[in-house]
Amino acid sequence: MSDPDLQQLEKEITDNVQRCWKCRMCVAMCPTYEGWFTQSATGRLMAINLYIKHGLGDEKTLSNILYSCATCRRCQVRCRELSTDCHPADTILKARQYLVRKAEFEEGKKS
Amino acid sequence: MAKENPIVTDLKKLIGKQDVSGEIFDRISYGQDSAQPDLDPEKIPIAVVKPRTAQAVSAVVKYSNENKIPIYIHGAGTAFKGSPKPKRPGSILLSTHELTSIEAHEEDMYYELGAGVNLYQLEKLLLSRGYFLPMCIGSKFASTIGGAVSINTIGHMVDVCVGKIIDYVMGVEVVLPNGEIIDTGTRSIRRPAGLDMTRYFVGGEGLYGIITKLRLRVAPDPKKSYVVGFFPEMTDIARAFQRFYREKMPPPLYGELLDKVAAEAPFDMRGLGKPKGHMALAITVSHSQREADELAKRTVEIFESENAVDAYVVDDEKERKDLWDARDNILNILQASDGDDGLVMAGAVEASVPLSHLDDVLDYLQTGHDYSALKEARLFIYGHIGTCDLHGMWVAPVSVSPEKRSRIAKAAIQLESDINVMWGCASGEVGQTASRITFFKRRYGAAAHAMLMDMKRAVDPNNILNPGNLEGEGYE
Amino acid sequence: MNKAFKQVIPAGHIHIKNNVLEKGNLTGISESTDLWARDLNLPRQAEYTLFAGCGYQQMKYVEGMMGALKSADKMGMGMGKVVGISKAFSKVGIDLTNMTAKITASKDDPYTPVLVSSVSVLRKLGIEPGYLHENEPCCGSPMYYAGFENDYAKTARENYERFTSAGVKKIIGIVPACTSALKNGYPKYIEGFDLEVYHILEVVARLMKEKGARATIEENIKVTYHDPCQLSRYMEITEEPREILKCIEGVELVEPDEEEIGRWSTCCGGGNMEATHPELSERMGIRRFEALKATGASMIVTNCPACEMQLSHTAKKVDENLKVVDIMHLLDVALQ
Repeated sequence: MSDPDLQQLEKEITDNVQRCWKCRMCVAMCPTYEGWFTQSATGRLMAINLYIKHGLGDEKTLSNILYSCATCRRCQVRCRELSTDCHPADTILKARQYLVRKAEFEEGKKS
Repeated sequence: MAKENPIVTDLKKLIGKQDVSGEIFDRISYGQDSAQPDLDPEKIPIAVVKPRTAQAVSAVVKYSNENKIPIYIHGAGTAFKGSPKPKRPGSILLSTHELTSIEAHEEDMYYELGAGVNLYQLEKLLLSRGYFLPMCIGSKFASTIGGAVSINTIGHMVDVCVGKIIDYVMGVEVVLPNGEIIDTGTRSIRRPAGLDMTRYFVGGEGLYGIITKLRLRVAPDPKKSYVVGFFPEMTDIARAFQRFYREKMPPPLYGELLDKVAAEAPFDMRGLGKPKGHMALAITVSHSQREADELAKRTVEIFESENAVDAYVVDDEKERKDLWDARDNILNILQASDGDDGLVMAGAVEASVPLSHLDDVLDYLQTGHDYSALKEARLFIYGHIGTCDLHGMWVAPVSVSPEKRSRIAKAAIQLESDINVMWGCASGEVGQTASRITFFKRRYGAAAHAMLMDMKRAVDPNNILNPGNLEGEGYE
Repeated sequence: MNKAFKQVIPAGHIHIKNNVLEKGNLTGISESTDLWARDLNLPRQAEYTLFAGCGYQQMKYVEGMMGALKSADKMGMGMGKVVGISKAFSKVGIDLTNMTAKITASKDDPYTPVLVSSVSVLRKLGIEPGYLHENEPCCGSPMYYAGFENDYAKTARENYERFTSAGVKKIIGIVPACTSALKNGYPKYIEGFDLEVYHILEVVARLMKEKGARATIEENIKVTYHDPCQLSRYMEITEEPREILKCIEGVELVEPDEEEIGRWSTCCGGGNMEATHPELSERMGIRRFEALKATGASMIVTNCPACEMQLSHTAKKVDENLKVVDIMHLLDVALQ
C-alpha cells in the first residue's frame, strides 16, 4: 500500500534532480556553504534523490541537511541564469513536504 | 547510528576531523559527477577528505599507498567525460578545495596558487591587476585552477590564440603516489627546455601525482573588439573562419558557433527575440585597440562575404553580455522544453577536426553517422568553430528511461571516437581518460596504451591515483 | 502525530505550526494583534487594506523567547524539551508561553513602531489605508517553508474567505514573507484568487515618483541597503527601495559588491533559521554583517523584521556603532 501523493512528490523531486547537471555553480551561492557540498543546493538534491531511489542514508541526517537550507532562493536564480533551471530551491521545499507527508503516512499506517 | 568506518577514523587522526567526512550524504555528493544521471551506490567513496596543506595531502596519499586504497582527486569535479567519478569501490575522495593560497610575485611576473583556487575568483583578481586569465571555461564559477591545469584545458579557442595553460605554468608542487612532495620547473618566465617534469602533471589527469600548488605566469590583458554574425547555414560560418586562416589573420581569442535552434532558449531568457540565424561570435585582440578594431572590421567583412544575414561590431555592453552569456552558458540550452517535459543532456561529443574538413564534420554530426539512438534524439550544435572544434549535444526529455539515456550516451562516445579517428584528431578541451579511452586505443593503438600503462605502473605501482581512468573502466 | 514529526522536522517548525493553527500567530501569545494601531483610527474598510502581519508586532516576544531558549540550550535543554515543559504546564492551566513572553519581552522594541511609521508614510503620500484589526489572520507562511503544505493550503483558503467577507480587495503588505505568501503563495491553492497584493515599497516608490515627494534628513549619513530574500528573490522588488533611498536628501547609498546585492544579495540567516539552526544562523549573520560593514556605511537599512532582528543581534557582537534601521522608519522621519 502506498500513498499516491507521496509517489507524485517522489516523481517530481527525482525528475527535477535529473535536470540538475551537477555543474556546482550553486555551491558558491549558498549562504550556508562552509566547505561541504551538502551545504549547497546540489548536495541537498543529491541527498534526497538517493534517499528516495536507493534508501541511502537515514532520516535524521537527511532532515538536518534539508532543514539547514535558508530557503533564500539564491541557488534558484543562479541555476536559471547560468544553468539548466532545475528549480533547486523549490525542490528542497518539495523534499520537506515529502518528509512531512511520509511521517503522516507512516503514522497513519500504525493507527 | 552506524559505527564509523576505521579508515575514516584513521584519516581524521591524520589530518584533523574537521577536514574528513564519512557521512553518507557528503560522500554521495562528492561521488557524483556531471556526466552520468545517478551514481552507482557500490562506488560511493568511503571518505571525503579536504586537506589544507601539501603535507596533509602527502599524509593521505602515504596512508592510501600503504593500505592500497584508491584515491579519486577532485577540483570541483565538473569534468564532462567521466574522469571525476570513482571507478572502484572503497575509495577516498580527495578534494583540493581547501588548497586556496594565493601569493603574488608580480616582480617576477607570476602568481603562486593553491590547486583549489576558484577560476572565477582568479580571473577577477588578475583583471583587477591588469592581467588576464588565459582561459574561457564555462564552469569557471565552480572549477579550480588545479583541475583545469591537470587536464591542460583552457576552453573555447583561447589556446590557438595565446597558447595552452601549460605555456603559463612555470612549475608545480606535486605529491607523488608514494607521498613524496616535489617541486618542478622554474621561477623564471622562461620554461625549461628538455626534460621538464611539469609536463607529467599539467595534462597528467591526476594519474602520476596530485598538484597542490602551481606558479602561473601572468600575461597583460589584451585590447578586444567584439563581433557577432548570423548565418543561414553552419557551413557558411565554417567557411568564414577558414578564410580567416587563409588570409593569415591572427587567430581571434574567441571564435564561437551556436546553432539557431540551440540559441532559442538562451535568447528567449535574455529578451533577445528569435535568433536571425546560426550565430557566430568573435573577439579580435591586439595590444592596441586600433588594431583590435581593424581586425574586427575585417571580420565583419568576411562574415558578410560568406552570406551573413547580419554582422556587426557589438558596442553596446548589455547586448554584448547577453550574446556572450547566451553562448557561454551552454546549460541554458537545456531550458528549452519538450512539450511539458524538461530536457536532460544524454550524450555529448567534442569533435576537433582539421581546418579543411569543418564542413564534412558538420555533415557527419547531423546526418552522416549510423547511430539510431542519436538520430532519434534532438541535436544541438555549438562550439569553437574558430579552432575547428565542435560540440554536439543530444538531449532527451527528463522522463526518458535510464536504458535509453545510456544508449544515447554510449553512442555519443562512439561517435566522438569515430570522428577523431577518421580525421586524425584528439579533441582539444576534454581529457583523454575514462570515457575517452575507447577512442585512445583506436587512434593510437594497443602499444601506445600499453606504454602509458607501463609508465603509470612505474610511478604508481599500487595504482592508487584515479585508478580505472587510464584503463577506461566502466566504458568498455 | 507530533511524535512522528519530531523525528524529521526541527522542533522550532513544529512549534510555530502549532502556534499558527491553534493560536493564530507565530509565537502563540494571546494578545490583541492590533494594540499598535489603537491610536491610529484605521477604518476597517478602505480601498487599500493594510496587512500588518505577526512579524513586527511579535519580534519583541520572539527576541525574549529566543534568549530564553538559548540559555536553556546552554543548560542542555533542547527546544524539544522546552516545548514539552510548556505543554506540561498548560495541562495544569498555566500558560507558560504567555508568561515567559511577557516577562522576557524586550523593553527595547524598535519593531512595532515600524508599523506606525508605515501608516504615517502612506498617509503623507495620500493613502488612507484600512486595517482588519483583531480580525487580521496570520498568513501561515512559516508552515509552507516547514513542509506542512496541506495545513498551509487550508489556512490560505480560510484566510481568503475572511478577506473576501470583510470586503478586502487590495492589500498592502509590510512584512515581506507575508506579502509574498499572499501575492504568490495563495493563488496556487485558491481558484479564482482575485485580491491585488502589493508590497508597501512598490506603492511608496510609485507614489513618491508621481507626487515628486521631497524627503530630507538633518545630518548626512552613509547608508547601505540589505535586500531581504523574500523581497529581492521571491517578489523581485530590488529597484524600489533604492529609488526611495536616493530620493532622500542627506542619504548617501553605498553598497557591497554587485554580486551580493539585489537579486544576488546574500541571506542574513534570520527568520526561522535562528530558531532551528542557531549556530549556523549566527555565522551567516556575521558573514553578511561584515560585508555590509565593509561598505563604510554607518547605518544598515532594510525592510524585514527577521533581518532586522538578526542584523541587530549581530551588531551587538561585531560592531554596535552600525545601526540597523527599517526603511519605513527612516522615510517617515525624512518625508515632509
